[in-house]
This record gives sequence, structure tokens and C-alpha cells, in this order.
Amino acid sequence: MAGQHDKAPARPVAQFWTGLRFLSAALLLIWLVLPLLPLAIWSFAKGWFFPDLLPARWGLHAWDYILSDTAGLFDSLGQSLVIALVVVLVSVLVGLPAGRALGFYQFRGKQLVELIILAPLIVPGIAVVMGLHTLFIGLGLTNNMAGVMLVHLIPTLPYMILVMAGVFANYDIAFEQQARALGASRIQVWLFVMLPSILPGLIAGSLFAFLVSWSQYILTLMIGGGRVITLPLLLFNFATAGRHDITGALALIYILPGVVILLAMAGYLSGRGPELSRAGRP
Amino acid sequence: MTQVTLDDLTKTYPGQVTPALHALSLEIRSGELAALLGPSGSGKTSCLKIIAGLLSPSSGDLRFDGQPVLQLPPEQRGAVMVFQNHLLFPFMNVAENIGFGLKMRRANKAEIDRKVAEMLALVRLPDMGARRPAELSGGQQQRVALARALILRPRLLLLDEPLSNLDAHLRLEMRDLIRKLQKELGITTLFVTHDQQEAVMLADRVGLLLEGRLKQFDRPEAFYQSPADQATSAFFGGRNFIPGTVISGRFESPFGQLELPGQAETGQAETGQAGTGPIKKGPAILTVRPENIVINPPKDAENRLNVRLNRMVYLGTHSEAHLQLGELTLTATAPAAALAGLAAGDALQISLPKHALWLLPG
Repeated sequence: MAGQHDKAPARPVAQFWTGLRFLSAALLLIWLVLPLLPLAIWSFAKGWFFPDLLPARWGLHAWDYILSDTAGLFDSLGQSLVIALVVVLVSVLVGLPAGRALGFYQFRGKQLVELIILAPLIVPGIAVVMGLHTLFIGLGLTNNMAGVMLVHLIPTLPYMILVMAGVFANYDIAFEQQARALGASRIQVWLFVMLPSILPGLIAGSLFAFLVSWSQYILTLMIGGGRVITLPLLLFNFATAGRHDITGALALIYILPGVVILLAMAGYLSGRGPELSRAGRP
Repeated sequence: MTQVTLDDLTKTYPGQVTPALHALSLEIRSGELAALLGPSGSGKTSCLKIIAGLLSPSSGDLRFDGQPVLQLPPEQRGAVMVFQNHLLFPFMNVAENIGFGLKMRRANKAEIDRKVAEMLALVRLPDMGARRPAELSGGQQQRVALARALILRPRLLLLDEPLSNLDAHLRLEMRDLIRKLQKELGITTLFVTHDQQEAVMLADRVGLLLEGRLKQFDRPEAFYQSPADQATSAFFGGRNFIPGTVISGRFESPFGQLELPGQAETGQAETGQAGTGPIKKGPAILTVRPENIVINPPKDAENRLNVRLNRMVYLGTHSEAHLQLGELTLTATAPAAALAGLAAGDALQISLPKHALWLLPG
């Protein structure tokens, strides 16, 4: 707090800024949490009609239903999880070397390559998937998990590559040479020097990729052809059917990974940054 | 204990015409502390990286104890390099940093712990093992980097500018530590530096690299007393260069004939080398160190010249006299008291004692 060390006349100004900071934090919290509140209420409501501020009657039937075998929650959860994890893994395997190349090396056409990598984020997903659909049909990649995983890579890879490119742009390759000069083999350098150095960025990128895959609707719907029912698809089914109570309960489960990841990342990212970039520079 | 032979090592970077390193041949004796000295861009760090195995030379050969090692990857050469900016791994504590090399060799944990404790004591940082590198001062980081290399008992230790990131008082301490450890452990060591002071005060022998070429590889004194050429002499503070020709044991200069020491006489003081160097006749450059010029010599002194005093510069313990000799400027230094009373514009006589003269290729 810069204000603490200021002379007396500056104090009201400092107080004003502190107050503003609290206010904005409170607003942000309300803005993020408030929309979730009705969902939570709905999931425990037994009928909730217009002028009532709160439901007339409460009940657990929505939770009973979604936890039953007929709802298909566990199948969807499993499919969403498997798809997201495989997508993260592939994103790391592709994004790490690609990000290293983009972060380290200068080559002709680098800007063009960066633009092409970004393109899937600029072009609307539905436009991309329309074109891909016919191609995927020909390749037998529709109506199955493999096709859905592949199509999820379209939005996750750009995030992963750009995050890793940023990490490697701040990474001093001299550390790897130093490790080699201390007798580490190539593989040992990757494991014991590169990996720990890029870990914060790698984790952040992976969490991004996970959430992007987790929340895909249109790509899953088109390529999965209704056979691959991930959690967002299940959610939409009930939402369009007007079952607000079940939608509310499902939505709470659906946002759970996001909340967990947000909290984990906040702690992790504020706790330590990409240290290697700061130390060791002359 | 390893003898290191560099044989015609040349490195030309892609897209460049002039080599960064030009046919460097050098032999470092077993257990020796050798320095490569040169300004930045002279190819000295390239040379270290080639020896460490981090860079491939364009041509030439490198042998440890007569065995070619260029084909070996860095981890099999046994040459360990300490980089200029320490490069301690920030995600490890001090003890883990020092133990890194042993861990890579898959030594067992008890052995690593024991040796790390030994090294911490050796570099006088006991109880610092649990600290993070960022919590250490520059001098302490340097000592950790040294310990991290020495723990491996390398065949050859390579140091990149080991003293240049340190404050003046730490430099002396670090110099003593490096010399002590190097002699105690008997590890053949090569370090590079841009600072002649650093090279002279640390090394047994110094190699001077200018524009990728090795000018001279010799004991530190030799660079002051018997430099190989004018650029070498100038790099070590030589400032007096008189062009002329050697004719039958005498030096013909535009300012008259100067006596050279005979074959039997000793050349520049303490070199032990007879005469004035390899040049026996033909064009040459005569040099004499500023501290060896005698101002207002006795009447019978040899090689007397008439000069004009341009300027006096007071430097505390001694003074520097800038002397005009025709178109040349000579510099002489003497105790401040000895030069007191002289003023700019005075006509003076100086003597260039025979024993202090040295001939450079003209």
C-alpha cells in the first residue's frame, strides 16, 4: 500500500483509493456470484412462480433425479472428463514444442504462423465446424469420441500454444546449457530444468484448455451427432425442456471444475510466477 | 588432472565471413590455472563453449590427455562450465543446486548430502543449504555456482568471467578462494575474462585473444616485459612505440641511433629472456614501459633523447609525464616526488635504458 508511507495530507486520498478497491472487489464478487444464486435456489425448489421472491415449497427431487440412473449424469460427466483430459494431454504435447519454437526462434513467416494459429479463435466455431463436418463424415470421425476430441483441439490449441510461447519468450535457454555443462543429458535437462521452469505456465495453459473443452457445446453437438452427450449437451436438453430445477442442479455440477480451477489458480499463480525469467539475467 | 590440447580450433558462425575463433592452438598443462583474455567479441566464450561441448567448432581438434573429445556430448567429457551470471536454478534451494550434477549422475542421496555439506563448508557457506538462490548476494551466488561445479571433481573446470560480476572487495576474496580450491583439488582450470587485471592476478598463464586470434600464451609477466606485438603490448598498457629499423645490433630511429642490449645481456628486466626478442634485423617497433623511462638521467646514461613535457598527470602514488618526441608521444611514470617541479613546456632529457628495451614486429 503506497499510501501508508505518505505524509499526513495524503491520507484521505489513500483512504479513498482503499475504499474504491473494496467497492470494486465487492461489485465483482456480486457480479460473478449473483447469477449463480437463482440456479442454486432452483435446484432446491418445488415450484417457483412469478411474484414470489423465494420458492413456495422446497425439495430435493431435482437432486434425486439427476443422481438417478435415468438422468445419464454420470455417463455425461465421464465423457466430458475423458474428452477434456485427452484434449489437455494432446494440447500439451503439441503446444509445448510449438510454443517453444515460437518463443525461442526467429524465422521467416513467424508472424504469419502466429496469425494462422490464432485464426480458430477469430473465426466463429460454428463456421469452422460446418466445413469440418463433411470432412469428418468422410473420415468416419463423426458420432464418436475421437472426432469430438479432435474438434475440441481447434479452440484449445491456440490458447495452449500462445501461453507456452509467452512462457518460453521469458525463459533463458542458458539454464539448459548450464545443466548440460553440469553433466545432464538432454532428457534430464527437459525433466529437471525445463519442466520445473515452465510448470506454472504449463499448468495455467492446461487449465485453460480443460475449461475450453469442458464448456464446448456447438462443436460437440455437430461432430458428436447426438451420440456423444457431454455435460453441456445434457444441460441444454433440460434447459430447453423448461426443467429449471434440474437445469439448476446440473449447472451447479457443471461449474464445479471452473470454480475449483479458479481457486487453485489464484493461489498458485499469486504464490509463484515464472521465476526463471527473472533470475539469472545479467 | 587433465592436460588439454586445442588444435587449430576454428569457429565460424553461420552467415558470417570472419571466424569468431581463428585456428586457436593452445596447450594447458595438467593442474594449471590458465586464462583466455580478450575484449568482448574476441571469441573467448565461444572457445569455452566448444571445450564444454555446448558448441561445435567448424574445424580443428580438441584433446583431453591426448584423447579426442569433440565427438563426446557434454555430459561425457568431464569438462564443467560455470557461466558468468551464475545461473543457479531458481526453483531449487542452494543444496539442491550444488547437488544437481551428482543427481544427474544418479548418485545416491546419502552421498549427495554428504558431499554437498562438504562443498558448502569449502566455499564457506555452511547453513546456507536451505536458502533460495535469490536470497543470496552476488558473491555468495558465485560461490554456490563454483561449488556446484567442483562437487563433480571435473577433469577440466571452465569459468566464464568468474570475477567480473563482483564488487572490488569481493573480487580479491573470490580470487583467493578460486586459487586455493584450484590448487588444493588440482583441477585443470581455464577461465575467460575481458579484464587484464583479473587474468594477471589469477592465472598461471594467460592467452591473449584479439579478434579471434591467439596473440600470445605466456606467464602474466611476459605480457609486460616481452609482448608479442604492438596490439598485445597496448592491451597491457604499453604506450611507447617508436618505429625504426634494426641494423647490426642497433636501432635506427627518426630520433637517432639507440643502443640495444647484446645477445648475452638480459633484455627487459626479469624476463630471463636474452636480448630484445626474436627480431634481429629489419623494420621493428621499439617499446619501453612507462615506468622504465628515466627522466633527467645522469650525463653518462645510455640512449638519451631530448623531449618536451606536454602535460603532467598526478595519480596519487606516482605521476605520469606525457612527453613529446617529434611526432610521437611517450609516457613516463615516476614517483610523484621525483617529478615535482616540472612544468608543461619544459625541455627535458630522458634515457631509455638498454635493459628495458623490447622489439616488436614492425
